Amino acid sequence: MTHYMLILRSEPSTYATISPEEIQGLIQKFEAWSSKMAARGHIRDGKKLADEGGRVLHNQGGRLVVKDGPFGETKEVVGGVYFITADSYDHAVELCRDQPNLEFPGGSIEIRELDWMGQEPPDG
Amino acid sequence: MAASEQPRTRGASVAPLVDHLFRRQYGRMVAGLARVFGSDLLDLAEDVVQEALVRALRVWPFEGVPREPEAWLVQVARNLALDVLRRRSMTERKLRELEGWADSLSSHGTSAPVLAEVGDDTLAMMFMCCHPSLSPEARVALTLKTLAGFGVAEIARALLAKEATVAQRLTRAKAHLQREGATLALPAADRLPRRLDSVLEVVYLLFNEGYSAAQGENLVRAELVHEAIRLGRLVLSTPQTALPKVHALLALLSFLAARLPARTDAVGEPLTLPQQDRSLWDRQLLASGFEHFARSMAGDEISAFHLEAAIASCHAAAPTYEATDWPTIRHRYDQLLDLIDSPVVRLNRAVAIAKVEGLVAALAELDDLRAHGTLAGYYLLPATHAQFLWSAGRRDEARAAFAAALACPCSIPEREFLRRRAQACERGEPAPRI
Repeated sequence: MTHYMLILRSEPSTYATISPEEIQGLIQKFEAWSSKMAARGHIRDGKKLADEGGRVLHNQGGRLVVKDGPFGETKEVVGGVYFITADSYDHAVELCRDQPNLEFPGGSIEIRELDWMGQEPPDG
Repeated sequence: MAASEQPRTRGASVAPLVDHLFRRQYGRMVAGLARVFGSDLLDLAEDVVQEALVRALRVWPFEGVPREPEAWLVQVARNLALDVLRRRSMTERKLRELEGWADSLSSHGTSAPVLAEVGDDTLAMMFMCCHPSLSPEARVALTLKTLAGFGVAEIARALLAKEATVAQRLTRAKAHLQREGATLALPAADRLPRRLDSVLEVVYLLFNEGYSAAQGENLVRAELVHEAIRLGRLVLSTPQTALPKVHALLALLSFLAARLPARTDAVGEPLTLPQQDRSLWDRQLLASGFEHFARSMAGDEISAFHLEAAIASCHAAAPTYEATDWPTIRHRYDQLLDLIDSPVVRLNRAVAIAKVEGLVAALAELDDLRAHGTLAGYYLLPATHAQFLWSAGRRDEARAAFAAALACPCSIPEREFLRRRAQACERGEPAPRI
């Protein structure tokens, strides 16, 4: 099994007009997806990223530049991450096919393999 | 934030969310916050509640659904409301009110009947949304939005209106309430009867909107039926407003809603009362109908709801269509006409006349109505006429009446139903039972 990180992006500015019933429906879809993943032993963890704050550091000619961010250029934000296991990238894509984040306007999922550099991952 | 520190769940360890929990919680929280903020800041209360629900959408997918979803939402709304109060430099008293509100809702957790103060807030909100100075359409839209937690698009679908129209109606209604200085409180005793009528009218309208279209082709419309019953029960939750008339309305709605499972056949075609399989009627709703009906007998007032409930109770009590007590139904219609002189009531009474006195009398009644002209364009008048003529063996006239009915606006399933009847009449088949 290979470990992957799923990075979920969406545009929360579009959420203001979602009705309460639709919000509940979406949450239930996320729950259904997580339950299915958990039942098959694919999901390891999930974490919401804080909305406020965030810093981006750059080195500009030996000087540390600290910016608030990552905001500004795009309305897209990383909502949170999941850690899952899958056989391959193809398999991971398959597992994410019905991920409800893809139903949001501007919603996307980035899949990145975790590289254990030849070491055994924790907990097998 | 404290709320997100609650034990998280992953997978199936937590009970699934109760149906419509977000809608219900929206209404409860808007009512409570609008009371704290002041009724002129209804929009602000709605924004805060929406933001709290959106927060859940952004957190729960990763952290899991909290053990007490309602309490979580209340805590988040409380924190957001606190920011609002501070920004607007509201008084210490407001802060205490907010804390009181959050405590009362949070401590209830997921336990079922969240009434007491909470019910009072919601009921007061209902009276405000149904203020008699608003048009019935505006009242219905506002009630669905703020109290029932429907989105603008859902209201538009439910009322067969354009989204922009609904949005505009809502904005105007709120501005109007603000100008009128409407407050979030139960009306004083002397004004209660008139204000209550205005609330009950909305419940009745909501129900009819859903009932007339509840053929499964439009789910949101069908939901209006249950929403209306829920709101009606809310009015009964406070002794001041739990008047016999309200029980009469609830009896009527329960009797009618009980028939829903029998109103369509296996392929979704509408079935008329004589065609329905009464074993499919919802026993629980029938029982609750009879209970409300019994309780509506207290006091001296006989409202239109009492009479309509009495008519519906005759149908509910009849084990078969043949066993229906038509003379009593006819008598109740006469009483109803004494109360409200409505051509629609007369049209409905015509069926009872046909059953009690025969087709000649019923056709004479319809001729009178047709001459009157007030129901021109209402498809049920020519449709009923066609049915009576067909039963009386006057097939040519019946054909013309069916054509007249089909020329009127009506829903697609109703039109299909009429078309099939017209074709059967054309083929010379015997008329179905009236």
